[in-house]
Amino acid sequence: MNKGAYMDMMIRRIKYFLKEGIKNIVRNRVMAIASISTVAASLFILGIFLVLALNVNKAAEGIGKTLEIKVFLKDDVTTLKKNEIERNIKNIKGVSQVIYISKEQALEDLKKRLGENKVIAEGFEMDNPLPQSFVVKVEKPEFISDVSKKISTFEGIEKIYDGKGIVEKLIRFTNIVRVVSYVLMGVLAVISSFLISNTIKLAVYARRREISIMKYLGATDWFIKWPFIIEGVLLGFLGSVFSILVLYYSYSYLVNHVSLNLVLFDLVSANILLSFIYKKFMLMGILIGGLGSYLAVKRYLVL
Amino acid sequence: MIEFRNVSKIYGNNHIALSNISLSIKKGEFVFLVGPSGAGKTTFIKLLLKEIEPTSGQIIVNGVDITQLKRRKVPFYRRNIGVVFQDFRLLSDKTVYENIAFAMEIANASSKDIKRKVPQLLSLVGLLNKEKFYPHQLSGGEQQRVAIARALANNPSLIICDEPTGNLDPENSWAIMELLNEINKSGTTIVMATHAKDIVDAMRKRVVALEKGVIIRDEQRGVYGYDD
Repeated sequence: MNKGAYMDMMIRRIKYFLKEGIKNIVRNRVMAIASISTVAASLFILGIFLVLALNVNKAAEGIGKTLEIKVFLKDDVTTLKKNEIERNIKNIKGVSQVIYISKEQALEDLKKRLGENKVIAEGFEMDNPLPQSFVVKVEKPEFISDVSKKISTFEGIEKIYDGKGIVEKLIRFTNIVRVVSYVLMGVLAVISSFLISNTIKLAVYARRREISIMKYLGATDWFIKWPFIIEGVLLGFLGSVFSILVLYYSYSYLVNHVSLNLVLFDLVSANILLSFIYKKFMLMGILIGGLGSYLAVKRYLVL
Repeated sequence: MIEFRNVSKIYGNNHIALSNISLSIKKGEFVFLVGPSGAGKTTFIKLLLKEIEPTSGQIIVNGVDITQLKRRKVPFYRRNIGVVFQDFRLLSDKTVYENIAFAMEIANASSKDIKRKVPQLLSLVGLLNKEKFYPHQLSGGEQQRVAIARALANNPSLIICDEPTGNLDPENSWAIMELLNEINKSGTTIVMATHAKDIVDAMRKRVVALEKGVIIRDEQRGVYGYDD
């Protein structure tokens, strides 16, 4: 067979396999819809967790950017000592800005914050209990814990607030979300594969007469198997497309109608979500479907 | 072209279907396989199609011992054999044309060959005007003729028929037999299991009679020899 004839044959083969696969789906609509739905449902649930994780990550990043280290100095630190500390802090790698807040400035700030209740702070001028402090800004949120660790080794430091606990909590939360979503996704993927495998089993059963005729005609095992494999892959793929659409449109709705009033930070946009998930979801749908049909063909297609 | 050497087939329940059969069929022969139900005709055909394996013995077809044939080679072996059944076994969701084309498709024929060959076959079996019909729109005789056209599609050297006239009225049966006779005359070997006494008696071909798993009679230009 020359190359052209071979290509011609391969194209006809693929067309035939696709046609038969689609025929199987149409013939067994109810099971096909059930299979597509479970794939879509499992990917949709994964999608919800991904939406959460993406937004938590974004929030963590946002908070990280505004984070600063507050360094409170001991009362007995002299101006000379204070200047030395300031120089040392400025020399730490990753520090972008150091702002000095004197005792007087701190009291002003406190009064401003108290507003009408500034009476509470009255009399503080006489014996100001507020410490002098530095506000240290860093180039990247990742530097915070290193910088604050270094500052804490300096002399004359009373206390450091670096807020890194918040970032760590957020990261931990994201990790939990990720693990839970993977486990749930795994369970649902197994269920989906199982359902697809069952659908293929019914298709094999419905076509057993044709299969036996094809064997008499000299069809190879793979010629008989391919339409069933393709059926499963198609079911998984359709499920993934369905879940992507539902996720995209429901999330768009959420972003446009709900987020503005409720959330303190901007949500990840629906288009970013779409570009983040669509390839992954399609691949997963195809894998789930392929696995299901592979299992069915292996178990129920006795050739 | 076909040789059975001391072939026995014993099923799981110790039922002896064939007992030490030896038989040789030459290229171009027309052989009737006769005998009462349960005599071993079906087992003989299934062995020839490599649907089942013999318990012992060798089966040589075209110089190859098919009992030693690897599983993945079986489809290619079957493409060299045309099969015709009592119940036609056409694909119900394919037209007459598609049924024949499909057999060629399975055997990797090019679309050019398919387009050329299918009308030839349809013309041979006299169904050129019914190529777009579905099997259920045809009479039994017509369906069997489609099955014969399909069996011929890949130029087999051997055609195996299992009661091909069993579901047909005498008129259609004869038409089918004439067709098979024509095909045989062009050099294709035919092995046909049958209960049709009048056909066997009239055709005067080689008759192999089986009973309880053994060959009790093998004669050229033979007759059916039973009263049923």
